[in-house]
Amino acid sequence: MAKQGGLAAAAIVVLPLFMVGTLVAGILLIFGPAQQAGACGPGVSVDVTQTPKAPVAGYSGDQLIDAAHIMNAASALGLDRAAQIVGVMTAMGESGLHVLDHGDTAGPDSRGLFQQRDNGVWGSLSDRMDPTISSTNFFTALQRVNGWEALAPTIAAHRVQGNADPYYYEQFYADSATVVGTLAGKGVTVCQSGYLVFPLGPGYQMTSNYGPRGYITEGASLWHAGDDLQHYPNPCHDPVFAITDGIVTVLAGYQLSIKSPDGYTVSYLHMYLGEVLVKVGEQVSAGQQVGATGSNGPSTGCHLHLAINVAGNTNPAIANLPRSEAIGGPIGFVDPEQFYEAFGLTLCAPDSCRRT
Amino acid sequence: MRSFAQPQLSSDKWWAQMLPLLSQQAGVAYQSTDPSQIPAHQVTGTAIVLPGSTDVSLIVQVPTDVGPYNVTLIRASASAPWLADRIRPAQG
Repeated sequence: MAKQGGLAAAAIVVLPLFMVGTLVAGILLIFGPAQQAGACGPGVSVDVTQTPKAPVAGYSGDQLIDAAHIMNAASALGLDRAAQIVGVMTAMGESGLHVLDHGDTAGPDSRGLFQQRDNGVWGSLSDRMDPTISSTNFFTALQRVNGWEALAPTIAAHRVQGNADPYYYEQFYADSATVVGTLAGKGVTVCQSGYLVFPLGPGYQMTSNYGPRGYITEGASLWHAGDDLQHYPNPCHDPVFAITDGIVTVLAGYQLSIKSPDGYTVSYLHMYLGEVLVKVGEQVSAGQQVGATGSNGPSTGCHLHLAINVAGNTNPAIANLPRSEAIGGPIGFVDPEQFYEAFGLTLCAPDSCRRT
Repeated sequence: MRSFAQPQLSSDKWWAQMLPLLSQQAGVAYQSTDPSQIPAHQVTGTAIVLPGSTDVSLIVQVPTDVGPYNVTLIRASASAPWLADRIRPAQG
């Protein structure tokens, strides 16, 4: 818990303003109209006396009550669910959702849910130990981060907290989205995050899943190292979205591959190269349209073959997934459905995705 | 990584050294990082390239005084300079 400190970064402005403007403009360009990730909805408030009795994503009891206080502080400021998720995610990373009465090596004077420091920025000791006041101060600081909504959630949190590792909070995003979705009382409607989105628009079906299978067509593998997805009855020229951030490393034949900053590589197969919108060496963002479905290569009709190879992966949540070679398949792949589960998402949810 | 692990520098001096080495996304991410909070102070050995490297993206693992760091490097083409996209303590 709170391995990294929560230093107040409000006073540290190191980029000249014109450069900030350039960077923000760059982000706005990246999040253009072809963006797949949707808004998360309004920030509803929660009855703190009615939090679930059963654990949610491993958090229970006072932890869920503290999460409710955080959510309520956000909604009182008129902030939406995305902000609630950022707040709960940050507190998970700083304190494990406990009102800590101690700090850590990075900040011995840090206290409370957000490990706010005794530097005058975060109020008195009792303010920092109060779930509502400390949350309100967190969200007020978040609102002062110019364009925070366009930042990845972990980067937005980092701008407030001044962590040693800007990406530290990413590992708590899925659990935070689950807790916030559950407490909001509308079931586990997980927001698609900046970290992982679905490769096709809603309502696709899965026509062939991961693992051994019979003969399909000349050149198609008998051990299927990915999932086939399509929209029926119009499966062709359907927008394909990058599921994670990364760099285009392969664009050849019928294969587009994008390597994540975490090292694993996501491949999108059977697009016609003339319909691919990115080139090798290009940096792409999760949710960006990269092409359209086709039937290029060994394929019997338009679909997207989505495959994930974990060679060089550095993300521990992914490293624990069983690999294809352990169950008789080719080397280095993981089941895309298990990959999505590791991020708290369901690739083929029973209510929206038909398996054929 | 040597530029990154300089907690004794002021934020301004540290950022002036870091920014030319960073990708655009890393420029956004590492803005407002306080160098004095970075636990690594020193590179202690030779970096290794992790499996799955390509012409335009790879990860090097760098040993430091607080354990290995993973540095994700990217470039627009095989002739462009490498830029750091992420600099993170190895997890797990």
